[in-house]
Amino acid sequence: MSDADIQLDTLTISVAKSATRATIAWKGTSDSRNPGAALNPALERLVQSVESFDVTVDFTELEYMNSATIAPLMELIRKLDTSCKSVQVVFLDAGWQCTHYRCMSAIARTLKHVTVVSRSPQQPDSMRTTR
Amino acid sequence: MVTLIKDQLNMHRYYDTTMQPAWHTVRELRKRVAEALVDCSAELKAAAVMTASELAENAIKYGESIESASEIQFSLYSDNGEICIECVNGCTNTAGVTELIERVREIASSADASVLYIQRLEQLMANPTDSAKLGLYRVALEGGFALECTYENDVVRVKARRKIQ
Repeated sequence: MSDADIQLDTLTISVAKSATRATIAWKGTSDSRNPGAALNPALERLVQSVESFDVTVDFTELEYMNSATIAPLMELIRKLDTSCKSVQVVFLDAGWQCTHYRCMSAIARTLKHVTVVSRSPQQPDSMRTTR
Repeated sequence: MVTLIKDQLNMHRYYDTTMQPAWHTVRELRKRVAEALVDCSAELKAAAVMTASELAENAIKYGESIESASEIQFSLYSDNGEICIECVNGCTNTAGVTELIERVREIASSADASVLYIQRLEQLMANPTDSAKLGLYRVALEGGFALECTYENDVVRVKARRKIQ
């Protein structure tokens, strides 16, 4: 875990950077009562640290989240959209994440720099669908 | 403790429990619901776990201990080909319960739950400090459950049900 990573109980948000791309990966379970209170300030700092990068936000290893997590998640996407040139949001093309993929795809049409893709569990490096 | 009883009305009671209104009990509830539905499809199990969790979270957030409902009562059962999840809690905040009932009616009368869900996401984008209040929309859209709500003598009963097949 790097210094830039965020840990909230059983949720880890890790950041990996290459020359031009930063990948923000959500992993584990987010079930806190008020995740925004802890996540929003940390995510704000994270957004500032990736402003010059093309960004991927990867939810494929997020096992479960409660609905209270959705607000800080949306806030992260909104801030990245205003700060970065390119934001790719990746969901798993299976199980509960399918619904969030569809809804985020609809929301992304109102954003300037966000694209939403889904990835098959069997093909981890292959982006199957783009909206 | 998981109970599995088949009664004369072809009803299976998978899991009944009473819960203290404490946040840590929700994680245990998700585990118990998943265990109780181990023989069901992964999709149904995930939907039921999420629904149980969202209803219990609401009961903890907005409910209160009253004489006739000092704890949260949770039930998971099947009835006539439907899986049913019920959460019962006390609440004297009539304005809050009215909002809950209106939301349940809004969802029940909507032809497409995704429209409501996306509208709420757009509102959250515009007003990020708002409370999410997405749980019931999620139960309907992601979980595929129909919702019912009653309020009597300061006791709220929320029931979610969907076809097993």
